[in-house]
Amino acid sequence: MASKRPRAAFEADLSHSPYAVYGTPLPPLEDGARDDGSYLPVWKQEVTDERGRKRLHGAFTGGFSAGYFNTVGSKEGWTPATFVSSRQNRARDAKPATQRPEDFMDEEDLREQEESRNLNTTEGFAGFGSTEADATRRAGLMDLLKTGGETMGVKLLKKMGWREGQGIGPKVRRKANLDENAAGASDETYLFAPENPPMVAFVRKTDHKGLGFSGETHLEKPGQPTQDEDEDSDSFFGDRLASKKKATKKPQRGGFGVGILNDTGSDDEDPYSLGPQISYNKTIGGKKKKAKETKPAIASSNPLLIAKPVFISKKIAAARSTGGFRKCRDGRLPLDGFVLADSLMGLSISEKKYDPPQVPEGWKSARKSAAERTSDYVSTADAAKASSLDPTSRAAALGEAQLPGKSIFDWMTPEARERIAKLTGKTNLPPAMSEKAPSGYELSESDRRRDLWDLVPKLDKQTAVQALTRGVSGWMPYAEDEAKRARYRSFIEIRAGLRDTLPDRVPGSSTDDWVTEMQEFARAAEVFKPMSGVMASRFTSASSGPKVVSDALDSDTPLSRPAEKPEDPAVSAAKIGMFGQMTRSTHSFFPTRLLCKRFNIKPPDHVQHDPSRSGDSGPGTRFQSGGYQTDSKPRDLISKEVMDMIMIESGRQPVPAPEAAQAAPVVEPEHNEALEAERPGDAIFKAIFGSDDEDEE
Amino acid sequence: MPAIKFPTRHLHNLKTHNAPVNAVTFSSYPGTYILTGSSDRAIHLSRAVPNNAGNSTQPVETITPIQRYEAHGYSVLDVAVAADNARFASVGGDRQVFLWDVEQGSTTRRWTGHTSRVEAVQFAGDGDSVVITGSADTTVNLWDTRSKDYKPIQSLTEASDTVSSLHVHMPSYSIASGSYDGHVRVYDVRMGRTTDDVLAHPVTSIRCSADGNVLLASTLDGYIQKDSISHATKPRHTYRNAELRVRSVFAQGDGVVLSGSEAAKNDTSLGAAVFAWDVLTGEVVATVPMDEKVKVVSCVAWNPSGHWAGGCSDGTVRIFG
Repeated sequence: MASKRPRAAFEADLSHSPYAVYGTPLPPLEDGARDDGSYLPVWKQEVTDERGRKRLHGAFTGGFSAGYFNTVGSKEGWTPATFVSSRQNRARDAKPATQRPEDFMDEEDLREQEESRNLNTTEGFAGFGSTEADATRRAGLMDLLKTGGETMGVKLLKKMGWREGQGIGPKVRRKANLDENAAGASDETYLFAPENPPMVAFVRKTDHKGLGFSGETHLEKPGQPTQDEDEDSDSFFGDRLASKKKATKKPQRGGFGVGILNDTGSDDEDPYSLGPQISYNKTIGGKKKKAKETKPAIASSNPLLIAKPVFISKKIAAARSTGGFRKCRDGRLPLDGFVLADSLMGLSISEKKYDPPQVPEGWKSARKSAAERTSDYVSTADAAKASSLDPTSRAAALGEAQLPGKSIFDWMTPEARERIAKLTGKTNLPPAMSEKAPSGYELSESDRRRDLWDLVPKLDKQTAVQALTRGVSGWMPYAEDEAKRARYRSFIEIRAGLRDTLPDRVPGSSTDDWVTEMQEFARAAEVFKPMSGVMASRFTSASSGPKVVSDALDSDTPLSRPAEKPEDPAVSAAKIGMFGQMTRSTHSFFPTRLLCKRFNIKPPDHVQHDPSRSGDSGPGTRFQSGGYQTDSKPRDLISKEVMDMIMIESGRQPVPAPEAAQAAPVVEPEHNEALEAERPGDAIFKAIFGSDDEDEE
Repeated sequence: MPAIKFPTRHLHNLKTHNAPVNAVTFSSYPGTYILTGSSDRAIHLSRAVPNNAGNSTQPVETITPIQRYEAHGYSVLDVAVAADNARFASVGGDRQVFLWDVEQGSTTRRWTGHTSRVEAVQFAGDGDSVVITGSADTTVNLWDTRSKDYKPIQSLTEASDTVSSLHVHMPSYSIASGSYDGHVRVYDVRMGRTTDDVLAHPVTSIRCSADGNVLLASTLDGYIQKDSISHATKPRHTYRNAELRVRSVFAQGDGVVLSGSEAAKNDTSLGAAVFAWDVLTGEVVATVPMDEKVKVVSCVAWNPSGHWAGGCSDGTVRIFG
């Protein structure tokens, strides 16, 4: 630890702020700069101008500075335009390079610009709970808390279909009030967006008047909202419901006389109308009377929307509930015949009132449950399964005479039965009797032979012929066993259609052995057909080719296996250990010239021409190295015309070019379509070439 | 030929590597030294038989090699020594082919043309001027040691799977290659002919006899084949080689086939062994069992002076004589 760290390690450490213990340190202000305040050796310090540009470059940090003050600009300050080829797209078509005013400012201008900027809030900031022109409150600190424009809530609401000026909530069905005068003209109701409850406006109480008393009417500042408009709105809970508006008619308070400024805008109370002002109210307690008139709140159960907390006595509440005026929580009346419950008391289980009636003792239902009924029912299939009788005993039980029929197993040989047992997996098959067929039904000799024929595995005739021809040409499998080879030959001869006797079999062998051997022959014939056959079998149609083989192979298995991909015969031959001709093939190998040189041998005739090293091949061999060269046509030293001329001069007929001879059938010297075609009319020539002047001539 | 008894005395135990040994090669005549390439990415040069080995009955142990050659980034898979003992070539899992100077202990040439693991390397050509490599990218590349060309002289692309083994028989100017696609291809450079033999099982080792008439091929079905170039015969020997690359060589003047083997999979008590067969009769001449710890003897090498070595999976190289 005490050892001195090398400078490189120290600096590597510094690159990520050594004093930042928690969190991610900010990247350095500029590359290579160190903001840890540590000492930087002089040779590492950099001179920059006031705009942070490197001033000294190279040559012991002395002089050389690239461009104009290390910029791509020039002394005039213009940024040279990038070169645009005028061939396709002209420079004037190209978009002019964007230039900012800063590009044309010098340091002094920039400094002035910096100084002229000062920090202040944007005009767009609005006060909290802005009703229109709450100018007086704008100066408050609240201004800082809320921005104008669309808040996220507004954006969300708009996405949900809300629009400015509408209220929030489900749509309300009401009459359209097109015109205040024509109100109630039509009875049709429509769905309307609810009305917009105004924002809660907190009115700061600065006077010493009683709560709710707004004092004498007086002239107001024009910007101030008229107090009358706020009449129905509570300072806390907003506007009262529209239906209530008519009912609450506030008495005009005020001093002596009513001015035009007291006008509420409603026509039905003319301040100048004559008549007793019964609603002239001078006492504060005037509201008490109105409380009786208060209708029950409609259309909403939200207590916040009920204008003011009103005391409702228990009696009234009870009367209401019995009257059935209460509404469900969604604001609708309960369904016909239903009454809203007062409490959950009546529904409690402990209540004796709704106990089910007592079932008398000893009572039995006349009906039976389904489970009891089906219990002793047994389906025929189940009964048959449960029964241990076999057909014969059942026949005996029924008193039927024994049928003369016999089981198939009575005629089967034990081997056949064993095979069935093996395939089905059943061990309880009846024993094989291997009876002879009854007289008259015995297999004739030809039938028997046909049966045996069915056992001979199928082989494509073509394959058999090919295998045979290969055998004729000198090679045949089973070289070590002459007898087997003879049997193999007879088998493929039969399959090739040259013989029609049954294939030979090893004397004393069983039919099964015979069949197995023949299947082996079929496979061998498939493998050892000559190369042309191999190529042909690669392109067999899906329905014919390999299916034959797989049929032969799978004839004894009940499940059909998908035909295997034909294996390379060489591989299959190698797998059965038959090495030799089948597994060996020779190809041409083209060693490169250099390789032959390195091996110190004369290159073979067909040596591969190495294009990258063409230098070491002589000019004579260049066009004759053959092999891969497609362009092996010898180049003519003299052109054919020159050659012909020489020939003519020497008094001989020029030799017709072989190319021309090949093209002869196409060319007909006697006949030229272009010359012999009918001459078109003069009009056409005129139209093409002629002008009117020529015509006149 | 079996008149000479097959040497089975354990002379020397090299414990220089700490990972399985993949390649063992005796230096060219007289084969005093042995080069071993291992999965620990190093190639070690050691004395094949120390001077005092003949006296004691117990095998001599060597822990430090004479020289270490370290440049490979992955396991070293094959090593070949030039005839003049001045250079050797090594290949490895890092797809590189290195040509080393034995005395300097540094690489003189690096070829990076292979795109996959390089499995086999051999010297060829007049004065060992060509390095032949077989790779898991299915190509055999021939590199020129005399030019600075970074490209191979030629690339043989006939194989369809990893070329696992190579052997060059210079008297007949032929290159034999064995591949995991089950083919043995013999390229006759002089005649411009390729002989393609199908063995149907992945070939892990290929070797030509000294007269060039017989090819020895190990396949993953557990057989070693002596495959005559003129006519194919098949003396086959049963031993276990099913999963890994096990090399086999001719020994005792082509009279004996020597091969490593894998330990039995289910039987952990027995280790791998080195088998030796008589070429003509196919009878086992000797079976030299290794320790129980040794699971595979992946490579064997025969030295004409009568020693042979086996590289074991526990990192040891055992030299018998």
